[in-house]
Order: sequence, then structure tokens, then C-alpha cells
Amino acid sequence: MSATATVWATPRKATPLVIRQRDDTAEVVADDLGARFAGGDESALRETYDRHGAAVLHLASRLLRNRADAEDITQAVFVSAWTSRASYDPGRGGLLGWLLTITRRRVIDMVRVQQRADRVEDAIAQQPEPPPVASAEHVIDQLVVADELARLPGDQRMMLELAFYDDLTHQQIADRTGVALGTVKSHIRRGMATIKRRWEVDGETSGSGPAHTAGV
Amino acid sequence: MRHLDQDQLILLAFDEPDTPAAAEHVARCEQCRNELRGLEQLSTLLAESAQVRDLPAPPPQVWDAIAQHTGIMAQTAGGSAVDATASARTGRPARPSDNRPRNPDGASRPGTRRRLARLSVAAAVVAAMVTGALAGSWWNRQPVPPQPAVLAAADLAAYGQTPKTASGQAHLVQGHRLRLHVAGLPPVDGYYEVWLIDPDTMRMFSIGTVGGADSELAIPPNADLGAYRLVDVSAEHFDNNTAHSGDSLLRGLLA
Repeated sequence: MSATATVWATPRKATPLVIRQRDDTAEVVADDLGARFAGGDESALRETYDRHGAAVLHLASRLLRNRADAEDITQAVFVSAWTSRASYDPGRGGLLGWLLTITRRRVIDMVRVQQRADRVEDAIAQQPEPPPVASAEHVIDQLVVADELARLPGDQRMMLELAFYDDLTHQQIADRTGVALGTVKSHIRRGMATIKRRWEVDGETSGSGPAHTAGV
Repeated sequence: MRHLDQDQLILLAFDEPDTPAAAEHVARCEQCRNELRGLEQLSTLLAESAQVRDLPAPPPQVWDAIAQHTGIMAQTAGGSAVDATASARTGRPARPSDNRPRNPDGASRPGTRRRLARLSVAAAVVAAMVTGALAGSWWNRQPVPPQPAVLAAADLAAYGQTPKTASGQAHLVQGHRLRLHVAGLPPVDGYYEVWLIDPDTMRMFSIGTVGGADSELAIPPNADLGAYRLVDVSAEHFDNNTAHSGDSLLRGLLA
């Protein structure tokens, strides 16, 4: 038995189940946003910002200590992404992964320029370089996976959230929702397979994902 | 031996295998073990992704600045583009990196996009210099727009007693030229001079005087910019003394 398997095998006491109201008949959220963005549709810039601006700011904030710098990076990322939109290929990877890679690169640039300036000023004090606050790769993976989960069809998303966010076993999910155990497993398998497939595509192109280990 | 299919591996990752033989197979099979490890990694990420649900949106001035810099005027959250300039400037204490070239009106002008293209190229070039990781990145396959290449950039920060409202940016462009933008400099009875300094030795040479908010100065082609990489703007007087007055207003490192 793998050690990590115990995470979701722990029994939980019953809590009221709140099912989020969502149109379960919708398939995976239609994702022509990337294509419209690359094509220069101006409304797509605003939509992309509304959808992913918080994630970009979150990554920048985790890597930098200064909130104002994180906001500056966020602005620069979207401006830069829009300027180079023609080079984004939706077929090669997700929009969020692309934006987060731009974010990481800009944060690295900013940190290195700041460190060089600090070294000139503090040459005698010999201050050590501060480590990054968080591993960029890991935060990017979390954000991309969270986004993929949120965009699954309603049934699959609900089951996976009960499994991962509420820590329920498949049987507990069946008991809680009244859905047959076999159907629960089916939803979870399909949801996991979809997320795994998309996460791997993103990982190949953005440099994070399952093929890479931790590190800024 | 037949490998497990993905459905079986997923159930195994949840510690709910449909047959005991599945777990036994994984114990013997490295390929399936690696697949399983990938799924467990993904499962850990999914559990951790709870932390990044419902993230707070950036404050409104971030979108205002984006709209202004890209020339996109529709769908602003609230307030006009002109207001966006004011709100982007105030609202938090001035910092050196807070001051970027901003157009007084938000209407898209060719100058905005040209400057943006230059800064984007600068960012791309700086990233390539610093990380060396752009080669092969598939989203950079578009050709660079025909502008003089920016080789390095420096954010100029107020130095010493200079008020923090003073700021500037310097861009080293192809052809041995330094493009300079300054703002908020305190008044001087003489002129502003621009120096390149070697921070390790504090040896320096002057590349000229500042003509206005934007100037472009020539750099000697044989200058060692690996050493003379600190850009300095000083307040000078008509005192028949060509040496640096010692009164630096702005400094920044080219990187």
C-alpha cells in the first residue's frame, strides 16, 4: 500500500452536503478563449484577465515579497501576453499554463535585477541572497490543475471535489450523494483521465508538470 | 504480464483497486509503478489545489494599466482611461519601479505600441540573457518586430537624498546608444549629466547630458559595458569642472 493513499481513505464524520448550483448539462467549458485571444479578439483579453488574473497575481505574490511588485508583474504579464498573442498556439497547451510561464520568467528577471542592485549597495555587508518564497513549478502545477478541475463537466467535478477537497472515499461519496458506487467510480476515472491528459500536455510545453521536479 | 490500464491505475491511486491482482502487479512492474507514481503526484496536486480556489482578483488599477498599455478601451471595470492614469499613479507610495512611461491620454497611439514593442523586446532579450531558456520555447516562434534590439535595461531609482518621486529607465540599444527616460528630477541650476560607472572600482565616464524627458546618448563602441554597467544621472553646475559633482540623482544597473 502506498503511503499517499491514506489521504483519502480516512473516514470523516458526516457533514451537511452542499451541492453547488451549476448547469450539469454543460460539457467541458467551451475553450475557444485561447483561440480568440491569439486571434486578437479584444474582448478575449478582458475575459482572460477575469478568468486568470487572480492566478497570475497569486503566483507572483508567492514568489515575491512585495505585493506592489506582484501587481506590477501581473500587469506586465498580460500586456506582454497580448503583445505576443499571435505566437500562442492553443493546440500546444493551455492559456493559463502559458501565462504562468511568462509570469515565472518575469519574476526571475525582476529578482535578479534587484539582487544585483542589492549587491552593489550591500557589498560590504555581504548579505546572502534571499531564497524564493515558494517553488514556482509547484505553484504553477497547483494553479493549472485547479483550473482543469473547475472546467470539468459538473458530475465529474463534483465527485472529484468530494474525493480531494472533502477527503471522502468512493463509498462515502456514493452514500452522501445517493449515486451508485459504480457511477461514482466512473465519473472519477473520467475526470482524472481528462485532467491527467491536459496536465501532461501543459507540462511538455511550459516546463512544469509531471516530467519535471521541483525548483524555481 | 499484461500491464494495467489507466482505469485500474486510477483506482489503485485511490487505494480502491478493483482486484487484489492489480496491487500485486504493480509491486512487480516498474512501468506501471511509474504510471502510478504520476497519478499519485497528480492526486497530491489536486488535494493541494484546494488552497488556490477562490483567489482574490487583482485590484482595479491593474486592469486599468493593462487597458492603457494595450490600447484596449472597452470593458474597463469602471472609470475612464484618463482616470485610470491618475488611479494608477496614486493609491500607493511611489517606488522606483512604480514609474513607467505612461501616456497622458489613454487613446491608442502608434507611439504607445512602438514603446510597448520595444519594452517587450527588452523583456524578451533580458530574459534570454538571464535565463538562457528561451531557445525552443514554442510561443516565441514569431519574428521580432523590426526595431533596434534592446540589449539591456535598467530601472533608475532615486539615489541618496533625492526625493523618491524621481525615476527613470535606461535601455541599451543596438548601435551603441543608450535611450533614457527620466521623470520627477529635482530642479538644478546647471544640468543633468549621464555617467556609466564600474561599480567595482567606481571608475566612470560621461556619455552626455540629459536633453529632456527622453534622450538618446551615444556610447563609445570600445566601452566595456560588462564593467561600466551602472547608469548614473547627476546634478551638475557650470563650475568649469568636468568631474562628477558627487550629487547623484538616479542610479540603476544595466541587466
